[in-house]
Amino acid sequence: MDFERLSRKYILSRAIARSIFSGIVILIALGVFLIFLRDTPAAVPFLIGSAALLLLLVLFTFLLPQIGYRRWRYRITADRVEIRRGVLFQNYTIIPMSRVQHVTMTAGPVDQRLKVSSVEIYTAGGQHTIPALDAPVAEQISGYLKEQVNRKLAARTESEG
Amino acid sequence: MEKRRCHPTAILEKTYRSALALLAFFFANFWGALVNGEDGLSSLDGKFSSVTTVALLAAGALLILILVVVYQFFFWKSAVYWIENNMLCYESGVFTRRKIEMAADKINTVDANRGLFGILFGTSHLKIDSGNVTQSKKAEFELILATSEAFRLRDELLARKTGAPPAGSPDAGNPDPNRPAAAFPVFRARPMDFLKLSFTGNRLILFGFSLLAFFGGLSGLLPDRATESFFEKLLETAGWAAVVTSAVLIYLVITVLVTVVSTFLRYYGFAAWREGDRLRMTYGLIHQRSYTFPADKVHAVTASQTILQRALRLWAVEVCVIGYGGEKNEEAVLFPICSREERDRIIAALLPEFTLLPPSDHCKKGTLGLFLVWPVLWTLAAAVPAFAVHPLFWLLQIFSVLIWLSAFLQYANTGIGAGMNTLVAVNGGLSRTVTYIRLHSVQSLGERRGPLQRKTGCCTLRVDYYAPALRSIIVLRQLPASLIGRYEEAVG
Repeated sequence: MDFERLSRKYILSRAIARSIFSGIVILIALGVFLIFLRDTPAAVPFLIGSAALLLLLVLFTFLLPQIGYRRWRYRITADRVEIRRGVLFQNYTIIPMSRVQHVTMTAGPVDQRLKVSSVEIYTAGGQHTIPALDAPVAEQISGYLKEQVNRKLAARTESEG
Repeated sequence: MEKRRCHPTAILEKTYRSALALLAFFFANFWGALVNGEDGLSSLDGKFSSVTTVALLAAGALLILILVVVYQFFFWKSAVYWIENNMLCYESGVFTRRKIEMAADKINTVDANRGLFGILFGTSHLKIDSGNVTQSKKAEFELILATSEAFRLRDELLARKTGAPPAGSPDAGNPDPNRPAAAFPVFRARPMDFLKLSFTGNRLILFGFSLLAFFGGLSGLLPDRATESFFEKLLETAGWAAVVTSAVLIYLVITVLVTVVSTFLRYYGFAAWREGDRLRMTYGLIHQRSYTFPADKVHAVTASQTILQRALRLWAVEVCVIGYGGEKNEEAVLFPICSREERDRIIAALLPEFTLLPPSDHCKKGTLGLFLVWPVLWTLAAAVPAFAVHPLFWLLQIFSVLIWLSAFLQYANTGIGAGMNTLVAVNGGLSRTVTYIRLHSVQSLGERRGPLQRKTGCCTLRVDYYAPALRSIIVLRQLPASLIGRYEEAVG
């Protein structure tokens, strides 16, 4: 089975969420400039620094989600969940199916509007997220993982009883 | 089982703890009103005389004390525990009632500890944990009971969990639950071990720094003129060299003495043994601790050594069990300090489920540069501006050398291996850690590759395992890429 991609809406979802963050940073910088620095010698260096920050924010908001989307892959088989992600630092995670404890689906306000959901996979050691999946795909994955968890529980009960 | 209350001295003990915190808060807020005047005692914003201020503060403190006693009395009266349908139930609360039910088979660890109050009144704290890693670090149940009742309840709960007879019953192998039976091999710490631990562990350094901070804080509290004249007189009479030498000697003696005594008090009478499927540990002189947990709940065994312990070939062995060692000031000790041979013997006797194998995969050859690149860059980047401030800051390069040495040792130490039932991971620089993890306790494996690692064909392997901390990850850097597949197969 090949690795699957996330929904293309991942790009928009991340861009919107990061725009909100970037907007707040820009507003704070603007406020600092207008209130404290407008008529001071520090105004020019501050503006140069802000321009560099703005460039980084644009990259962070609009370019990184594009590249991140291309790198993000997941694969769910009968015995494991595999996740590949990361742009500069590339991560590959394997979660054996037998370690999955429970699964939840989450969707924030932006994701709800875009009709995408994230699937959160919990093990006894932590949590792993597959973000921005089309709602039916997320339902399908969540259902499959829950079925696997229940099967594992039934097998354990049978062996203990 | 009928509903029972905690021991009445619980009111006293909890009052003492709550009142201490509240009184500290009270005086921290009103102390300024008492001492900010030039004559020492002052008034609250000049509204009252000094005597009235003191009387008001005393009345406030007394009121707090009375309120705490009344609250703790009603809390004690409201709190009951009982066993019903193989479930331990606990109900408590003055204003809001809270009921907790825990199935006996979900119990992970049961600890019976006693501090100074316990020794005085013959009580013990019984802490019961289900091993829920998402909860706060406090135990789910903490009951203050008469010591005999605490041990009886502990053994009954463990017996219900495992189906084995209670340790104190005639059917059990060990008639006294608080002492190991002759049939079981017991590993005891000797007085020499306390000395070794005191001098080689991190306590000595930690206490040394705390003492320095304390003296620093104390000098801030003393009036400047008084300290200056004191030191001037001292220097005049004794001379610089004598004062500095004496100060350093006094500082060292206090640090060593306090560390040795605190280690001795903490680990006095340390004994660890296994009774069937349970592991037991008892230690402590004033604060006496007694831990019991099923051996199958041990997810990992960690053997670690500081740089000094490394030089002396000593190891500290800890276990990773949910509910043991998670709380403040608690360490999940299996044995506080031992040689390598003792370490292997202790683990083999107490936890034979773990295979003590050496790591089979090590850092990729030629990756020493990757370990060194960032430490060298960072330390040099910090050194250049420091030198610009003052040339003497070059002395700080001693720390840089230590950082580089640590990076080199990380390269030499890092390794991973897997046997039939255990995964072994070795990491750390100046302090080395060997972790033996049950294969079924490994929760996920991760591989991370940065740009330089992609060029050299290596990766950072992350092993995520079941541990008291919500997320415990062992990070092994610069291992050959593609190892993840092999270890995933082993983990299953």
